[in-house]
Formats: sequence, C-alpha cells, structure tokens
Amino acid sequence: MNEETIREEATKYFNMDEAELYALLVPEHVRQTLFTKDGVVLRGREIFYTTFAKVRETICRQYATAPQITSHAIDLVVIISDALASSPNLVGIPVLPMAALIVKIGLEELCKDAHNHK
Amino acid sequence: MHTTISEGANPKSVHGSFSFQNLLCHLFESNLAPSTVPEHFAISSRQLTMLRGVAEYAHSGEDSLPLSNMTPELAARTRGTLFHERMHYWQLISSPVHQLAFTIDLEKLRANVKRIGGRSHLIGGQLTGDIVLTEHELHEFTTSNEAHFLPTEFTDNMVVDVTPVAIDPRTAMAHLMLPHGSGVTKRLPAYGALMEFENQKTVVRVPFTARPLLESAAYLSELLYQEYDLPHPQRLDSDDDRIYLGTWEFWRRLHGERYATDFELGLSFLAAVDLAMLSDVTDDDIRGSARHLEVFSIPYRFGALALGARSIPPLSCGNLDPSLAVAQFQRNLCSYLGWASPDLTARKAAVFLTTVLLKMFNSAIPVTAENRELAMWLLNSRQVKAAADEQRLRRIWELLAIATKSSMPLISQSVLGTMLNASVYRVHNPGKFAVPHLYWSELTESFPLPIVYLGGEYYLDGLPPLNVCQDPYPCEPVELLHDCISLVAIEPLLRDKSSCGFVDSHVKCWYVSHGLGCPQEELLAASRNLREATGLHDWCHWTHRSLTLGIASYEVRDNWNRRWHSRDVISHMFHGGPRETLQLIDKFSSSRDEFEVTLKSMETISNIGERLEYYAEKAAQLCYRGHITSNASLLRASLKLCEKALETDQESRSLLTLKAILHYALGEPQDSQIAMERVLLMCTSQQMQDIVMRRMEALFKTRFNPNFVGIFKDWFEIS
Repeated sequence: MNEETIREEATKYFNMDEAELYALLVPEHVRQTLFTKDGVVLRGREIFYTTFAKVRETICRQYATAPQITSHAIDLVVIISDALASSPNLVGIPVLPMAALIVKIGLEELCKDAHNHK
Repeated sequence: MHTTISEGANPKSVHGSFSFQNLLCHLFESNLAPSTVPEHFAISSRQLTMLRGVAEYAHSGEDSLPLSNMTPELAARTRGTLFHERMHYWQLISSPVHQLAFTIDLEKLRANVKRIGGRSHLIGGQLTGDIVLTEHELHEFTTSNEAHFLPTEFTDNMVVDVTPVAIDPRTAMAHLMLPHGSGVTKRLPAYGALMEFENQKTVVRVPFTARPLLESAAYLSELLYQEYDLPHPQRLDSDDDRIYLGTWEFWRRLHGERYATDFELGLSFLAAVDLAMLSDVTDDDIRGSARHLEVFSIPYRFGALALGARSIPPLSCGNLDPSLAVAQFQRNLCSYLGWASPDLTARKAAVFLTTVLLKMFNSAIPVTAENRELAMWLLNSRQVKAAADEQRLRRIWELLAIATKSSMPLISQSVLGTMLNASVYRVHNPGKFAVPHLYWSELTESFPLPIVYLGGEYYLDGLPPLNVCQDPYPCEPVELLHDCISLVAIEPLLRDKSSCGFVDSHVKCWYVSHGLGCPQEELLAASRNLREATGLHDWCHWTHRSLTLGIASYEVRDNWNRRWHSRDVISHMFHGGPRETLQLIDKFSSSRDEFEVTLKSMETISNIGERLEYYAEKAAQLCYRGHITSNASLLRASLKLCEKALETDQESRSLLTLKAILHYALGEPQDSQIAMERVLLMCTSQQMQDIVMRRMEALFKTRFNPNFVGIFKDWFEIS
C-alpha cells in the first residue's frame, strides 16, 4: 500500500467505533462460530488486550521516550501500525484496526501500568 | 413484567463461543484490562514438577495434561454462558443436519491431510482408509453447507415473492433465492422474515438460515433458564439483535395471538427450531423426491414449519410434562406437513452414524459369519428398514464397543460416538433436546460439554462425579476432550492451511498459558529455557497431532525421532499392548528406514505369538502405503507374518486377502489367485462373490501405480 492508501485506511478505521474495531480483530473463521450475544466484540477485546501485552513494552517505550512524536491521531495510527507490522508476535492480527484501537483508547491509558512499573 | 432486549441481555463477566467444527467451548472474561494480562510467568517448583510430569507423557508420544473439574463457584459464575454453549453442543450432537455437516468437515480434513502426504486414515469419517473425496466434491459440499448455515441477511435482489402474515405491526414472509454453492446461477430456495417496527425506519430482514435460528433458540432458552421474561423487542437495530431475536420476533408476531402464555409460545418456537434442524438429510432415498426442498434447505424448511404451525392446534402443556407436549406438537406438525416423524428421523440418524462407525472399525470386528451377516444387513438395508430394528442395531453397537477398544484410536471417533448416543437418547427422551432449560440437569449430566476452556485451563464440564451417557457407544469424557483438542489443532486444514488451530484462532493453548510459549511462533528466552528444563522441547498439541498424522515438518520429525522415538517404540512393543504399539508405529513409520526397524521389531514380537493377525495386517497396511510397495524383502517379511498368523486362524478372510495381495505384489500371481479363490469360497452370497470378483479383476489389471492403493483398500474392506 502506498502512503496515501494507508492514510485513507487509517482514517476509515479511526472513524469506526471501538466495538466494530474489536470485532475486526476476531478472525473471519472464528466470527462464524456461535457466540453468546455481544460475544464477538468481547472476544475481540480479549484478543486486543492479550496481543497488546506482547507489544506493550515496545510501544510504551517508544511513546515514553518520544511523547511529542505526533499529536495527529491519523499519523499516530499509521506510525503505530508500522511498529506493529514489524512485530513477529502479531501474526494474523490486522494491524490497522489494532493501531486505531490503541490510539482511540489512548497510549497514556494503555501504558499507565507500564510507566508505574518503571 | 417484560424485560427489554438490553435488560434481557444481562451484563456478564464471562462470555463464550462454541465451534460446531471442533466443539471447543471457549469462555472469556469481559472485564479485561492491560494490567490483568500477564507478560511474564513466574513458575513455582510445584508447577515445574507438574510440567515435568507432562513431559514424561510426551516422551511416550502422549499429549496428556492436568485437567480441572468444574467447581461450584465457577459453575455459578459462568452459569448463563455455560448453558448457552451447552445448548449449542446439544443442538450439534442431536441434529442430523449437523451430524452430516460434521462428517463432511471430517472428509475435508482427511482429503487435505492426504494431499500433503499425511495419514488420512487416522481421521474418522464417512469414507475409510485413504480414500478421500475430490477437491470439487468437497468444495460443493462445503459451500452448500455454508449457504444453509451462515447468511444472516438478504438483499432485495434475492426476494422472489412476499406473503404478508401480520398487519400490526406489518410483517411478511419473503420467498428467497439465496446464493448456493460455487455456481453463479445456483440458488437455494429459502424463506426469511420482513418486519417493520414503529421505532425503526428500516425494514428488518432475517433469513431463516441455521445460524439465526440456532442463536435465537439458544438465547431464548438461556433467558428462560435464568428465569427472565421473554423479550418483546421494540426495534432490532444491531446485527446481534437481528441474529439473536429476529426469528423469535417473527414467530411471536405470527403465532402470538393464538397463545395465552409466553411460556407455551416460547416452547412452540423452540420446538419449531429443533424440528427445522431435525431433518432427514442423512437418507439418500429422499434426494430427488417431492420433499427434497423441505428436507435439504433449512431456511425453506423453517418457513414451511412457521406457516404449517398455524394450521394445527397450538402447543399446550396442560397436565403433560413439557417435553411430551413438545414432542406431541412436533409430531402433529410433521403429520400435517407430511414429513417423517421426529422419532423416525432420530432413528435414521442413529443408523447413519452406526454405518459411519462400522466402516471406521470394520477391520477390528471379529470375523464370524454372524458378524458379517449383521454388517451386510446394515450396509445393504434401506435406512428406514434398519431404523425400525433396534434389537439388531444393538448387536452391532455391542460389536462396535469391542472393536473401538481394541483398535487404534481415530480422530473424531468419540465425537461421532457421542452423536450416536445423542440420537438414541433423542429416541427415548422425545422433546427434551428442544427445551433444554427445563431438563438442563439431566442433559448436562448425560452430555456435558467435551471441553471448557477458560483462563488457560481445560475444564471437564459438570460437577463430579461425571456420569455421562454411554449408551450405546462407550465414550469417556477425557477421550472426548482429547478428540476435541485434536480437532481444534488441525482445524486450519479445513481452510487448506497446515498451521495450528489454536494459533490461527488466537486462543492461547494450555502450553502457552503455562509459560511454555508456542513452538509454532518465536519462543521467548524464558519459554525456551522452561521447555529445556522440563524436557518438553517442542512438544505441544500441534506437534503431537502433526507427528501422528505424518504432516510434521522434516525438522520436527527428525528431532522427535532422535530424542525419544527409538527407545520408546521398542519399549512399547515389548511392554505395551498392541493398541499403544500401533499408535507409535503409525506415528513414526514414515520412511523406509524407520519402517524396516519397525518391521523387524514386529517380526520379533510375532515370534512370541502375541496378536499375530493384528501385526500382520499392520505390516500390510504399511506396505501398501506407497513408498515401500516395491521393496521385496519387506513384502516377503510381511507375507511371512501373514502366513504365521494364518496358522492360528485359517479361515480369516482378511488374512487370506492380504496373502493374495502380498503374493501379487511379489510377482507370484498363481499363489495370489489360490488365496483369492479361498476367499471366494467363503463368500456366502452371489452378490458378495461378484463384488470380490470385480475387485480382483480390477486389481490384476493394475500394476503398481497410485490406483493400487485405493483398489486394495476397497477390496480389503469389502472382503
């Protein structure tokens, strides 16, 4: 994808609500299994947090060392998605929806405990 | 007081999913936060000891894990969610539609294992040995199944006709043509609902495909189980609302006026969904008949049911037990529509599953005239005739119980056996599977979920002592659990991928949850060290299944052989039983060198006279598995084993057939023919003789080529 397409995609995902984004993290074949009501979104939420735990150190370190990196949300989605795409721990996870969620929830919130532990 | 949709959907801390393909019930917490997800594991000395215990089993080629029993606290905390998932499990195991779909999935697994050079015969299914369906057949079957099951919406261009069924609020039933299979012009005749809501601008559309039906029924039953009032939705905005409440709301609008209580209206809806899934799909005689559509198209069938139910008396419990009232309602509906009764359909499903299991374990059934007559009766009878003779079926079930205990375990055998038990249970307990919120206690005891996965632990469902249904098929809960783990691990093969299903679904398996990391992914240093310290190396669910099925990479196989194989195979041969030995032989004899070692060991063991026939047959099976058929010394060794076994059982048709094959393979057609003539003399009917003759002719026209394997296998089974 070229730069422009990535930004378009990032904007599309950033404009989705969190529930839609969580659902997108659930693989298509898993979405076809039978969930309890609202279960797909919550399964996506579980995937988000367990996956984020694998990259938290990296993402939060980058954020902590360069908090001024950008204040523009879409730029941040693109930058984080680049970082996620190069992580071997994220095989099979769509990185743009994941990055959009990280930005929407807020790095500050997600990295809170990581900072406290330092 | 009526609860609203949002009130009905009580906030839960635990949600869940259930897979019809691998039966995994996965529960997950909804109150996660970053700090609740551990990044690193601290392993206690007790856990280390436990992991070393797991490694001991791994050295013998077993994937044996500590299992947890459900505690009363956990059962209470997960109550509603567990019930919902249990209901899906009961829907799956007791519905002929799902039973058939499950066996088709098994065929797809078998075909893909074979395609990548693995041992397809270790997965059970409708076909046996290494005979598999073609890619085209599988594609047609699976896309057709998906058309019945998956769609949750439809568009204007799929609507053929609309029949108004209620005025206030406006409701109609749409006659649809849904996309079906791979063909552009192929369509599935179906029905769906069109509903207007006062508070909603858009018309709500819900097709009567399996998923909305099953989810609506499970959700409704869950609400009743938790003693909530049934919902009267004021709008159905979200996809989830349509899926979980759409078909119920349609039913309520269509039949609500005829019922005095929501309780009986709810039961009638659950009875109708159950009946929609209790279709005669396993009976080939129905293909091409006038009832074809009502049997094979689930969304069409439910539409016919919904309209038909207006012409019979409403479901009424009166003084009856609710299950009997449900059964009566279903019988009346079938009678009005001219369909087979639920009882007959369940019996036919039992016949179908018995046939599948009989083919899977045919070679382990003792060869006697009586047994052969029983088998031929089942295979040659029309389903409807066999279904009527439970006494004779029971004799076959007794044989199956013996055969499955003495032969090598096949992936899916416990699931198929449980489906058989569920079909027989349905015959003797009509109506209960349709309204499980009223019979949840006995259903949970008889058919607990095979595996409940929560927070990194595998749980056996139900509070101990477990007393699962074993009639007619003996099936231990732990065996069923391992069957499910196998199906989860190999599930990506359904999508033509040979990765681990736990990884593919982002489910952290037991090994990962216990700090051992995933050998299919990059291992962290801590996990690598823990694996070395415990002696587990690269062992996991996937490594075990990929070695067993012969689809592991060369590196994994080579590491395994060097580490554990040689010592343990020989040890098992002399100290373990034939079942364990065969498991190991099958797992590891994938190259000529390994085979030679194995065969020599088998020859040694045969001299001490233990289960000669068993080993001889095994030798032959290994021989015709492709790469070693031209090795004369191995064929000769197998023949020697075979002849030795014949000394103790001169009338064994399978051994004589085997002898004929081996002689033929060794270029000794006259000896081969003599052996086959002896087989022919043992055929009691002309029909049997004709079949054997045809097979023989086909075989003798064939030199060693890929067809040889298939022809031999066919022949071997028939004789």
